[in-house]
Amino acid sequence: VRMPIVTVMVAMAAVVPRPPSAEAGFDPPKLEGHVIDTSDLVDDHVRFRIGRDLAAFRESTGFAIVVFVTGSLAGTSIEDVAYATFRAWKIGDAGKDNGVLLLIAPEERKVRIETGKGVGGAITDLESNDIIAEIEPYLQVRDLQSAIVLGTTEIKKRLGKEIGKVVADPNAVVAPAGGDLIDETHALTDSVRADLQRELELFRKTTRRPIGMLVTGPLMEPIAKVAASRFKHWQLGARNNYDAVLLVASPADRAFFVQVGYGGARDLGEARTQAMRAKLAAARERYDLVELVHVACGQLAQLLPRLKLELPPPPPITAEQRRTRTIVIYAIFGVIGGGLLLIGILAIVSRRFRSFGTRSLDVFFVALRAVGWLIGAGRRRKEYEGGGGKSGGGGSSGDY
Amino acid sequence: MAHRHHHDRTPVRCRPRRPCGWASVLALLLALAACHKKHDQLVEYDVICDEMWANIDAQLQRRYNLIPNLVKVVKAQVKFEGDTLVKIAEARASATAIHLSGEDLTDPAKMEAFQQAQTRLNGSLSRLLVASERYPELRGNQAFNGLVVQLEGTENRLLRAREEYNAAVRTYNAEIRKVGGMIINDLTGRPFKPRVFFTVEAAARNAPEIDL
Repeated sequence: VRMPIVTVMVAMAAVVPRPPSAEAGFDPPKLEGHVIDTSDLVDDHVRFRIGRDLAAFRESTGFAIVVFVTGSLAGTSIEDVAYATFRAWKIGDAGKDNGVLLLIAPEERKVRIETGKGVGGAITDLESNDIIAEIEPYLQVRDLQSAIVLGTTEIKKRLGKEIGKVVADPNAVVAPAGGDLIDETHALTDSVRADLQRELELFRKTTRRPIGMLVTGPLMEPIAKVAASRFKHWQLGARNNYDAVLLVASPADRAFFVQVGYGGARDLGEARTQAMRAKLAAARERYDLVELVHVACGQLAQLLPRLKLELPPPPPITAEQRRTRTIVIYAIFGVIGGGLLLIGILAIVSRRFRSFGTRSLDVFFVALRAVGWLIGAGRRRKEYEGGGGKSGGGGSSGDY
Repeated sequence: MAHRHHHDRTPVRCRPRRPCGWASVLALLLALAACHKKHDQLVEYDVICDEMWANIDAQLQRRYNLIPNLVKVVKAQVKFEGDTLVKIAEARASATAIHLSGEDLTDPAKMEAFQQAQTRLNGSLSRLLVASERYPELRGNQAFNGLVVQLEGTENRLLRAREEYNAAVRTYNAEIRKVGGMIINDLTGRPFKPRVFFTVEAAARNAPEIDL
């Protein structure tokens, strides 16, 4: 009896087609959500929040974005790993091929964006290269959370644009409502104004810190004092100017001052401030405003630590979710209340008949456990298991 | 006697022959159905191969279009020593001169010529990329870097298209060499010819990476 079973099993093993394995030793893990981490470097709450955000994006737009942080590339090139993983996971819908994979290999310090065949127009290879260039500074300082937040946001923005949907960027820094460049001298030409504003905009984009500039007339008090008082009242950006920067210039007195918020000042320290002062010396000598701002912004972007980007806000609860939640809560209280009532009745009855044993308690606990399992089943429901999307090898890679 | 003979013959002649006839008709129909199915399968594999080839073709075209831009940017930025740029233009011209489709893909000689032209183009492209390493003004040039990124992307897409084409060819070639496929091929006058694999290595893979 044993022999045929063995033969049948062997025959089945030969017949059942094996999943397409990766080239040379890389074996992709199972896809069970929008963020897969085999490196153990991504915090659970980051995985959870970004996974939920990407799930909401997929439900509203159809585009499937998956983030994969791999512990190792197993000696394979990142292009091959990304392609094999994309193939195994089938990210995106069949026929539409509208999936995107963001692959990060912290061990090998490599990153790749692999685009499905259907999104090659929305995210060209050049654009994936741009996104990688934007997230690389975060990867260099091992800030995976910010890298993933920024990477997925940028991918979402471009995919959203394809279908005419504006994607909100929780970490976007905008110029303050009152203007980021206030010229009290009214002596700046339009071209200088535009140049200065471009520098400020670039600083804002690369560092995600708020910045403003004040050009003032002859000084009545020390420039540091002017800067400090203006900084306090100038709502440059979020978080009470904690991470903000204010540049103050007085062409009449040939003075230039960089005021950094407490968050930045604490990180900047005396040594770095000295270094920046030295770099600024030559420009201060010539007193060319555009050059001064260019050097100051470049130095600050280099010397100030990268801000950790905030996770996407949780998506609003839908009416259906609220209903399900209500039902679950009622069920829990129903079971607990009903059980207690039952136990109470049984206890009263058993005092009469002397038969109240552990069995009724068992029933109560079994019921409780069933409710627990049901809740768990809702939680365990896999976020994403892939569609039928294909990749044609599009995208871009980078080393960091 | 005659009466008996007559009585005898009818069951002997008719009973075994009628089932025989039905069976042969049925067998023929079944065989035809099987042949038909096999034939359709071969056609399908053939069509898939053509589709995959079209992918390769599209990526090659993309690369042909990128090269003149790359040469233009390099020329505008630096004075290249030697004839690297001339060679690359020549290699591109000879590669674009050969355009394969349909029947050509089963012709080993034509495929060989095509693959040689592609290899030459890859070689001169790699040389260009290696040479450009020595010019810092190129490495800092945004247009050049953009083109290199696009070239790398195209090479990777080409690599995947090639893998997919070769996998399709493998299935197709194996199928027409199997007994069933062979019979159909012979019966229908050999319309299914084995295809030639596309084995040219990508250029960007061999070239040292450019520090962007």
